Amino acid sequence: MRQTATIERPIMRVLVVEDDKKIASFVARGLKEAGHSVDIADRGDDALDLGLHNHYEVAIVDLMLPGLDGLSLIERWRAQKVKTPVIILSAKRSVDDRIKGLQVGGDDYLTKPFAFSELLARIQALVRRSSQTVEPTTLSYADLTLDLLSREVRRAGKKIELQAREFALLEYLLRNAGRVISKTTILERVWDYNFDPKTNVIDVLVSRLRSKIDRDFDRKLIHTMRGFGYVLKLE
Amino acid sequence: MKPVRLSLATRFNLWFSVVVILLALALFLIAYFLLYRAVQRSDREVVRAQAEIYRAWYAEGGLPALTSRFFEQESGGRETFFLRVLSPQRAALFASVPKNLGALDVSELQDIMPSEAFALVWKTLPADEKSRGWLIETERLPDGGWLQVGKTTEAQTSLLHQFRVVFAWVALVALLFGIAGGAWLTRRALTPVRQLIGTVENVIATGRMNERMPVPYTEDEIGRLTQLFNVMLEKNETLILRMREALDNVAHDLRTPLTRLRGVAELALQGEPNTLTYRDALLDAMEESDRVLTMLNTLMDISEAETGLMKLDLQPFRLDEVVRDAIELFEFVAQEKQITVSTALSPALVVRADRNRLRQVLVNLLDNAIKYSAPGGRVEISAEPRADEVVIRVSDTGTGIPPEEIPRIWERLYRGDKSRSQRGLGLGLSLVRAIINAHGGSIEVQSTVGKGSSFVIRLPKD
Repeated sequence: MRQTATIERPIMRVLVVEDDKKIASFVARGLKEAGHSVDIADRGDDALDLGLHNHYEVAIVDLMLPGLDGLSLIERWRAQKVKTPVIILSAKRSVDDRIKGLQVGGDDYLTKPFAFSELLARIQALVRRSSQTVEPTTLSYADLTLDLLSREVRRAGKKIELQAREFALLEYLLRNAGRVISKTTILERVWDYNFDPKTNVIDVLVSRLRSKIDRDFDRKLIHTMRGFGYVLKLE
Repeated sequence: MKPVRLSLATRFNLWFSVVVILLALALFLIAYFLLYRAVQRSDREVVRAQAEIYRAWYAEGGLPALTSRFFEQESGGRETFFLRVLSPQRAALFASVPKNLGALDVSELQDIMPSEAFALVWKTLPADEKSRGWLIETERLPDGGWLQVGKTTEAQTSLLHQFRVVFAWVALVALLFGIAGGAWLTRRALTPVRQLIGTVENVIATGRMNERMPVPYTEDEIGRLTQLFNVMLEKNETLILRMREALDNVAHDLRTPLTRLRGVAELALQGEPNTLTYRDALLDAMEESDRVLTMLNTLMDISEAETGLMKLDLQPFRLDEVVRDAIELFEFVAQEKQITVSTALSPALVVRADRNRLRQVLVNLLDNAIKYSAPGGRVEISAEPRADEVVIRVSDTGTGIPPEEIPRIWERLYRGDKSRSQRGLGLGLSLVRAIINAHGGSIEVQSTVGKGSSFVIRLPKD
């Protein structure tokens, strides 16, 4: 059975638990622009109540909070059978902190400072995972299709040969079509590197992919967003 | 020093004294009992001997012979012994109590007469206000009467009394010595502990870690503890100094990019308001802040590795897998520059290291090697096991490093003349060296300008 992923944008209710007003409003504004409805809690204990009495598709939780710290908040939610997927926001970047966050029941971990596009991508991935929709076997955008089983890529019906890393990058861009993907994320998702080697390997990979996907076509799909990263979209 | 309510020394001393007292008391009781037995036995022997004499006299001539000799003869003992003779009907036929030895209540002696001939019964009358204590034996005479001979227990009592007095003095002196000796001993034994407490309190109060304790000459537990404590202070001091240094360095290194960040904003605001200029400046600012973040993370990594705080997940793994990973990352970059990357690895070579960190090291070195090689150049990663180390070599046919720059390439934020035009932070090699050093290994570079460089990593086999 083949299913084609459509770029759907369901409206979600998101709870943002963050005591830094600037960060909270930055996140909330971005989420509202993306069409979601947002509640903000600036205290851990307030967030506990909100989470217990409302249904959210996803919660974004800072770790350092007044009232009740983020880890305890997640723990209490999980103890009360609140299954809302949680993305942890933290200024701590050590592996230990990450592991601790995931152990108490967090679903993803994002280190400050972060790009909003990155947060949005993670939210989308989490919701997709938790809503347990059937994994599509074909990804498509505009006249570009990518078959995950036969690993065949076609644009306007024309077959395009890609190497493994090029395929992996295109798959990731397609899954997040329309969203800007940072270089750090690409290193993480395409090469499984969780540090920034400060190299030009990503530029080279993207330019190779671009030459295969876009060079022979008038409508360019892969765009460089200076300061942000790359995005797959129709201009 | 904060006074402890019942210090260790006091408790030691108290216990010591209690033990001394109990020991002395036990000794006294044993000695007293033995002495008492000995004195009593000798008293009985004396009475026995005298009774034998009286019995002999009685046997020779009956009561008259006994009484006449008792009074006349020197050995009659009338000054010393109590003598009483009873008829078979228990009537007193004769009785004498030495006149200067006070009263004797003979009624106490009525009921202790043995029925068989030659049988002996001993009786001790305790001393009271009216009479002295007496030791008396009663025996049956061959004619059915009874003979009673006795002697005061005065000597015995006074000897035991003296013994008690002497012992009390001895015990007192011993106890005093015991307490004093115990105090001296515990004090002596606990002096290093007291010093330890003093030093620790000083360190806590002042925050200065450079205090050290005088190490005692003895190789006992306290000496060992003192040594170990000094080692711990030493380690803490080094760690704190290094962390302080690392913090200073990070602060210093961040000032430059932060100044640039501010400069970008300031410059944009100086001109006429212009959306395009602003947009450009904001993009610059974002890129600059990303750089600051990367720099901060890398500096933290370097500092952690240098101070030994970096957590290394040491696992054995195949080196060729990690080398392949690292090379794969640069596949397209190398293709683009027409640089050949090759490997010469001993097959199935296993190293014990932090896999991710070692990959990071190789990625950094490969990045440099490719960056500084001209198109058509070659890069080679080789590795071979030695007796107690693994030697990994990353060689290139690039521009090489001038000899005067070689010692400086490991410095943080140092960028050689040639590398200034390249992208990068100038932190890569510092991080590489810090990670390798944290593994207990070493790294050095051999380089000839125009011919290429070779970075040689030595990792210990554990």
